[in-house]
Parts: sequence; C-alpha cells; structure tokens
Amino acid sequence: MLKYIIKRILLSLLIIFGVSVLIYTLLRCMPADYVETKFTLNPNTELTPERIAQMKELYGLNDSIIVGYWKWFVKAIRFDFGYSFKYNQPVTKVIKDNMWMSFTLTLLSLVIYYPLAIFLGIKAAVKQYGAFDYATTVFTMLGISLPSFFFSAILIKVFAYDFGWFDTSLGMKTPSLINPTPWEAFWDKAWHLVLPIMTIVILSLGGLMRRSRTNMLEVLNADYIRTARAKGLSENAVIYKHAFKNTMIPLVTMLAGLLPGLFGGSMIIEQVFGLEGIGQKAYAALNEGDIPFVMGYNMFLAILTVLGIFLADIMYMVVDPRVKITK
Amino acid sequence: MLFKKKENNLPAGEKKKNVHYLTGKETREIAKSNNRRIRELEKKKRMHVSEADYTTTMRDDNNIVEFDDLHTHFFTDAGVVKAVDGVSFDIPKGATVGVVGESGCGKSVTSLSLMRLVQGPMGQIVGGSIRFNFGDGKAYDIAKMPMSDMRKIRGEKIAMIFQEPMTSLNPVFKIGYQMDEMVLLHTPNCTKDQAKARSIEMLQLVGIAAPERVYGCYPHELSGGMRQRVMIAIALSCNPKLIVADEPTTALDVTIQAQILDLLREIKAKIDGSVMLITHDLGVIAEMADYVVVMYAGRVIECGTTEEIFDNPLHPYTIGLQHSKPVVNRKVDRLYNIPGQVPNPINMPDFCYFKDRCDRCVGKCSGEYPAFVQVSPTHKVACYLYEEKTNSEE
Repeated sequence: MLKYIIKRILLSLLIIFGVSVLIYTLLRCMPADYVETKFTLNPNTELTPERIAQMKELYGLNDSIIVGYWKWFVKAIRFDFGYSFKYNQPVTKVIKDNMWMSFTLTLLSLVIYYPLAIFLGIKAAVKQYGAFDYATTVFTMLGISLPSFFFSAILIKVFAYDFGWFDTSLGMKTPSLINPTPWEAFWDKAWHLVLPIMTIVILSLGGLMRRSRTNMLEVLNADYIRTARAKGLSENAVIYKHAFKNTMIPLVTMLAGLLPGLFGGSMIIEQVFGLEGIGQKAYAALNEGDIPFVMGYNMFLAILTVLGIFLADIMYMVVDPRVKITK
Repeated sequence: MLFKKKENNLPAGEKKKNVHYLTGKETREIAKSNNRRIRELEKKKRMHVSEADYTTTMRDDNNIVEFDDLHTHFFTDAGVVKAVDGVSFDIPKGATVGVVGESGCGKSVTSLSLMRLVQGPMGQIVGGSIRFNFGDGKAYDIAKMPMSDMRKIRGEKIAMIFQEPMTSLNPVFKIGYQMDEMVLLHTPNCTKDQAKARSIEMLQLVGIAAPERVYGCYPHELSGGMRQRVMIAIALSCNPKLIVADEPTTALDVTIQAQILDLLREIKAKIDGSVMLITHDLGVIAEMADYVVVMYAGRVIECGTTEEIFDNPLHPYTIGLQHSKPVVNRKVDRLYNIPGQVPNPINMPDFCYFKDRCDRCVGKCSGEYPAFVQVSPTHKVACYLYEEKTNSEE
C-alpha cells in the first residue's frame, strides 16, 4: 500500500510538471501579452515605446519561453507562485480569497444534482422504454445540449426580469438593501445563489443521469439480480438493496473525481451572474494575459485533479470489496 | 427515405431468398404487434388478481407441479421467438425429473417460467398453465399469479439453483448477509442470531469445512465449487418443496460435479422434496433422475421413466442424443453427433421440427406436427414412426 502511494505521488509530480510546461507554453503563445493589452492596445496610453519595452522587461515578458519557464519553475517548486499582474497580490492569496465562493456554489449544486440524477437514472432504468424513461431522456438531453451562458441568460431573462423574483444587478448583494441585519444579509446572499445553482443543476443532471441509468440497466440484467428475485425478495428490495449497491460503485468513485470542479469554480456561470468566485477571476486574468495567476490557478486545478484521481482509486477500494490495491 | 430507396433497388428474387433480411415495413409491423402484446401482458402482471382467480385443482394430487400446454414467447425485433411452445409434463412429489435437450431447446426458459423469472418485457408467458401443489389441498396456477403474490412461492416453496455460480452471488454483499436474507424473509419472527445459526448449519450441510469463515467472506473469495455449494445452501435454507436446478454442474469440473450431485441427492432425501434437474449431460440424468423429459426446439418430444428413455429411446432425436454420449470401454474413431443444429424458433413451420436433421424421415413427417403417442403408461413420444405400431396393436 505504501509502495503504491509513493509510486502514485511520483507519477503525479510528473503529470503536474507536464501540465505546467504545456500551459506555460500555450500562455506565452497568446497573441497579446499583459503589457500589450494594457498599454500598447490602449488608445489612451501615454507611454512611449521605450517605456513599454522597459515594462515588458520588468514583467519578464522578453525572456524566451524556456528561460521564462525556468524562472517560474524555480520559484514554483518552493510554492512561490509569484505576484499576479492584474490583481497585484500574491497568486496564492487571490486563490485563497476567492475559492470559497466557488466552493459553496459548486458544493450546493452537487448536493442537489448528484442524488437527484442517481434517483432519476434508477427510476428510468427500472421503467425502461416507459413514459418516464422517455420523458427524463428528453429533458436531460435538453440540459446537456444547452450552452451554459445561453441557458443562464434565459433564466435571468425569465425569472429576474420578467417575473422579478431575483435581483437583476450583478454580484451577491441587492443594492437597495441598506444596513441589513446579519440574517437578512445571509438570506440575500442565498437568494442570489439560486439561479446559478439552478443552471448548474439542470446542465449537469443529464450526463450523470444517463450514466446512472446505463449502470442500473447493466446491473439489472446481472445473474445475481435474478438470484435475488428467485429468493422471493420484493422488487423494491431487489432494486434498492441488491442492485443499488452495485450501481453506486462507479458513481461514488466519480464523485472523488469532481474535486477539481468543486474548488475550481465555473468560469462562465460566475462570469454571467457576476459572482466573485475564482472562476471569474481566472477568466479575467486569462483575458489580460496575467501569466503568474493563470499558471497558479492551473497548477491548483492540476493538483486537485491528480488528488481526485487518487481519491477515486481509494474510493473503489472502499466500495467494491473485489478491488484490492497490491502494487 | 434513404433506406427505402435501397429496398426498392433490390431485385425481387433476392428478397425472397434471404430469409434473414427484413424489410423496413416488416420490421415496423413486428415492432407494432410486439408493443401491443407486451403492453397487454405487462398490464396483466401488475393487475391485482384475487386468490380465487389463480386457485385451481391438480390433475393428480401426487404431483407437485404440472406444466400444461405452457407457451413462453420472446417478442424480439426479428419476430416472436417461441422459446417454449406447448410444453406439458408433471413433476411427481418426491421425484427427480430430468429435463434434457441441446442448448436453445427451451429447458431454462421452462424453469424460469415456473419461477416467473422470464426477463420481461421481451419474454412473456402467453398461454397455458403451471399448476403448483401448495399442499393441504390448495393448488395455484403460477402462470396466472400476479408478481406480488409470486413472492409467496419463490424461495419458500420453490428454490432455484442457477447454472453460473460465478456470477449468481451478489459481489458486494458477504455470503452471510445473502444467506441470512433468505432465512429472515421466509421464517416468521426470526431473529438475526437465529438466521445466522441456520445459515451456518446450512453451510455445514452442504459440506463447507469452515462455515464460520465462509459466512464472513465475499463471493469472490470462494472457488466456483464453493460458490455453487453456497447457492445450494441458500436455495435449501427454507426447506423448499421443489428445487429447480438449472444445469447446476455445467460450470464446474468433473470431480466437483460428482460431489455437487451427491450433495443434491442427499439433501433431497433429507428435506423430502422434488427436484427438477435441467441438464444436457445424459450421464447426470441417468444417475439422478426418476423421470426424463426430452425437449427439442421448445417442445417436449419424448418423456418417460429413466429406464424407458435409456433402455428404449424411441424418438430419433433421443436416440441421437444417446449416441453422441461418450461411453467408457468402447473404441470409436469419432464421437457421433446429430447433424445440423436447433432451428431458430421464429416463424416455425407446422411440421416436426426435427424433420430436417432426422435420418428416419417418413412421408408423413411433412404433415402437421405429430401428436403424442402413448407407448406405455409413463412413456410417450411425439413421432410418426410409432403411430402406426400402436394403432395396429390396438
């Protein structure tokens, strides 16, 4: 077991290294760097070309990709991801400050859509080719096919503008709310999260529901389900005890793989709803070529992904008695 | 539209030649009629039927089960597969009835029909009855019972041992849990400790050396033979009246096979039940069964006592089966096999299904499907070869 973990960690480091090289190269290949977007392309700029060249030197944008990467790498292995160009703060601090907003948003939607999708999937599988099966299939395919920016725009139009149930300004606070009590402020915040959560839930439901349906169908055709029926168990016991535990194996392990998504935030949805999450920060940083922040953010995601995969393997061992990790 | 065009381009003759080719129209028609039938039958399964509606009387009170003209069909996209097409035979109390036949003859489907475990919605019992002797003068028609009432019979009265011990146990539950579950379900006022004691007792009975250890194991930690023993232990833990063993030894090697069969025989004597033994191994039948039913393409073609079938096989198919069994002390160059294979039971013509493979065909064989000829009080055969003989004797 120890050997396995050490092997996994070494492998993960290699993966993270590869990811960092790839992302750094891609970032440097972007058509306009930070200084150019900020000063050169800005018509109101008063800086002379000499000054701009000086700025570029200062930001380290004149180095070749290899030299630039080496400079970043030497610092990064000591967990120093540098200063964000755009936010003028250490990258780690920006991540830390904005992470929890995204975490809350994703966690809340996860708590809603995960059990719901599994439940719907099982129901659809049990009544395969029935009316319920077709209805959920159509509904979830709709959810899968809609782009998130478009769907959130529709939700905002319908529920915020037409019905007026939600605040139409960006952000987490209703502007008209002056001097709220802590309780009121909390409710106001929670109310602002409803539409983004709704968007995530409806868009994520489909894929997982299809997966749980397929799993369940496969399990229902297994020999041990026939055995359970032959024992005289009620249909509910067969489905929600014998089949359920087997269906859950791949679904539970998938849960561990969602770790990066949990902290990484959702760029587009946060952007559309104006939520101050890490996804929005990363989106803005990416647009302006803020190399240290984008690198730091992606390293953060890469580490979480690797950790998630590792956790998924551990989860397999927990839920499936047949899986034993030996090497 | 694209597909339609292709169809039209086909030469007229080719269409008729290729039996496996279904035109779009035919496919749609099949799907339509299948859907209609399935919906009808599924509705019937869920409907509440009062006990009086499925109570019947046994033809002979000494039988535990009577199959009477049972029809089980599968509604597939290629057409209706008549997997079991008018099967009738009896299982007497305390007897072992062996059902033999090639793969695809409907043996397993017959047994699954008895348990009402045919995989719906495709597979459905469409006609006939299966009378089950409940004891104390009551008899139920299993084919008419709603699914909710079937639970009274499954496991408690009729227990089933499946052919695949490797996959028939749930991989994520411990053996102990899967055994206790059965006991708890069918024993009123049973505590967990009592169930555990019973399970361990059963494990001992089926010859597992360390029952306590096996009780706490997961199925994947046991060998195939051990798992089949566990399956038998589960099946027998509630003292069923009838054990349906669907090829219980097919997946096991020969030494384990002999042990399992011995075990089955011993236990049958102990609980005084009947056994319906499905196999394609004639050696197993000869050793175990009192009565033999030979099935071919979804129909019973010959049945009788074991002596009759083995000493005096009549149907050419039964004779062929006997020939194709290896015999100790006889030297042959090649083991005999019946030419051809079991026909695909879709759209079967109305003549003896064995006709195309039979080496003793007579002119009458092209006529309608032969009726049963009673050769002796217990022995009957569905073949034209014997019709005249009995007629002339009378």
